[in-house]
Amino acid sequence: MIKKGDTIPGIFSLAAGVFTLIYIFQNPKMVIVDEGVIGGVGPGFFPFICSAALIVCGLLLVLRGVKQNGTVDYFRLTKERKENLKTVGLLALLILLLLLAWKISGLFFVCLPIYIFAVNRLLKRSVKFTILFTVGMTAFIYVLFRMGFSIRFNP
Amino acid sequence: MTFEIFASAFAELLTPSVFFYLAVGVILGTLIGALPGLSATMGVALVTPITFWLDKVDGFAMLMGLWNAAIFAGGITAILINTPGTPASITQAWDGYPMYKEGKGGLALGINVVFSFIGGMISILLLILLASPIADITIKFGPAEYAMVALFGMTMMIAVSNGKVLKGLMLGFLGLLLSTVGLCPISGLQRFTFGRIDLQAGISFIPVMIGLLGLGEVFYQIYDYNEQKAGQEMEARKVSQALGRILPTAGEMKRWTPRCIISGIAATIIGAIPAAGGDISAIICWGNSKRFSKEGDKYGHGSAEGLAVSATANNGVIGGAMCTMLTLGIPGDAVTAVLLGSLMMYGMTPGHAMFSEQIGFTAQIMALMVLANLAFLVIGLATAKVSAKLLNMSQPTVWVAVGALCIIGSYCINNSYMDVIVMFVMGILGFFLKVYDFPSGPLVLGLLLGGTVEKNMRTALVISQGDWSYFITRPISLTLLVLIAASFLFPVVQAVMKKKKKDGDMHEIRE
Repeated sequence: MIKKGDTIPGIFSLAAGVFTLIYIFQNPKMVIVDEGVIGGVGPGFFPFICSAALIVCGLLLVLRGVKQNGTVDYFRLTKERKENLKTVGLLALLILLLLLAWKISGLFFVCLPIYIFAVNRLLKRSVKFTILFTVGMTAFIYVLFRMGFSIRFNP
Repeated sequence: MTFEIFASAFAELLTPSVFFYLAVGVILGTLIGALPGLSATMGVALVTPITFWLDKVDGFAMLMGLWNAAIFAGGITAILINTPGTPASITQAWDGYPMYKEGKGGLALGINVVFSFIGGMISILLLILLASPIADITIKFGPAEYAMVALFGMTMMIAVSNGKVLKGLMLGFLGLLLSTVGLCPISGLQRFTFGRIDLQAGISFIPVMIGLLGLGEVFYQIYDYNEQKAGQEMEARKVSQALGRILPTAGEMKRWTPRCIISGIAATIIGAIPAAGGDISAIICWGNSKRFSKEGDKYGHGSAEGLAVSATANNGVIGGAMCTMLTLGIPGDAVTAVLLGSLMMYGMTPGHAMFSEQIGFTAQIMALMVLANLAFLVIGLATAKVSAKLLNMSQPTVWVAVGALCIIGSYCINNSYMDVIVMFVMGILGFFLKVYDFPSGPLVLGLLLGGTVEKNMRTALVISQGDWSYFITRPISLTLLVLIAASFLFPVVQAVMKKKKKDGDMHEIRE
């Protein structure tokens, strides 16, 4: 695997800056500086400054990444970390599924225990612990937030 | 702030509900501070949404209890397992852990509680005395000055970058860009909303904090988890050693207190400097105390005096950070950044208004800090030995609980599903930021202060009819502008000097 150092975050910064710039120039109301506008500075001024700064920082990061010439590797993927990264990915997926299921069904207190159960199993907790933890955590959240603060979990 | 106002604020707080939420905050704070990986910032960010459902005073009682207790509790893990619960507890590990290994664990835990209390009280006293005169200066502030103050706060993105200036600047500007999402403060134009109504009010600050510091941290801890190392740590935690007596003797207290009072005052001043947090304060105070103490050579090898100084300095920053936050609206550290967000969500504007129209509530916040210190002194001493058992909680249990609370906490602030999405996206961003060694502080500063900078700068330009010299013709604004330039240039000059010195050394070696 090529060690890319700061190149990848640099590209992201560059992309964010360019995207903002395109957004500003495609929207005629996003005026940057114009004497016709009150105060001479329009709604596009600050986003423009930010996008320019992001582009400059991005370019400098890409340059630094190239200069590092493979000597810096932030994603040092050992065998254990590869497994851990899978777990992180699966956890993110489980959260995404929870959000989707909650949005579609509207039944937060049905989706939540399923999510907690799945995460505990993903983290290799025993079945007994998982069941106890799921029940306890769901009950705690229900009592505190639904009953205590009367929050309606309607997405 | 007169004594009468403070006394009346104190009297208003003597209700069962305030004491209940204060105790809940202290217990939660002790738990959060004592568990490695959970920080006071994460705790305050997670609990803040809950406080919006409570009475304003009850909510702040919980937050103050949590914050003050979490800072002191960071020392528990530092003493018992040589792992600072918070970065600010690093120096407590240097003296506390050797004391624990010598069988003086109880005394080390006791010193941590008592001197954290002393540090906290000194800094609150200074806050009460100094905040009001500083706020009086802000009465002369107009939009130009407020814009400059916020801009000065933003220059701290370099200071909180931990030496990664370019990465810090990049994230600071990203935060500033995110602060422009929503309606333009002057023209009302929709910016970056992509037709979504729920983005018109802008990106809420708390979900961003919860995502970056909560979920992002969970993702990273899972990624960085080493089963063997974690197993060894768990075994080390289970090793039972006699903790011995807890309270220091009167003679010991008399010997250490003068040095700790100096540390407390120094820590408050350091805390008032934006971005100089508890870790910087603890290291500066501990280092100077070591230099001037008769038993300086014992520091770092189990010195009870060294531990007392560290604990005082650690909690001493709180009053200073609050002073900068309440008077100028600049967060002194990450926790005050979240608290600043909470104050704004309650519709309050830091600055002179906090010491005129809102003086009652400001006095209540200060009184709550006194009560929070008293609460963690009592609870901390009573549970010093039991607190060691907290460390037996395994990391996966903490991850699942924190993950679920991140989702619920981010939803609760505005009952907004969009906020949960923002939190999730920020969680993923927070993970990659940690992997790529980016400091998240500048992003938070940019997002928090970006709106204030833009609104006040553009209002000032409207007043001056587009004349930019308006910012340099006003004395306070000009002074602040000089400070901004200095704080931008200082790290650059420092880096150039360091490079020159290094090159010079290399040249000498070659010769």
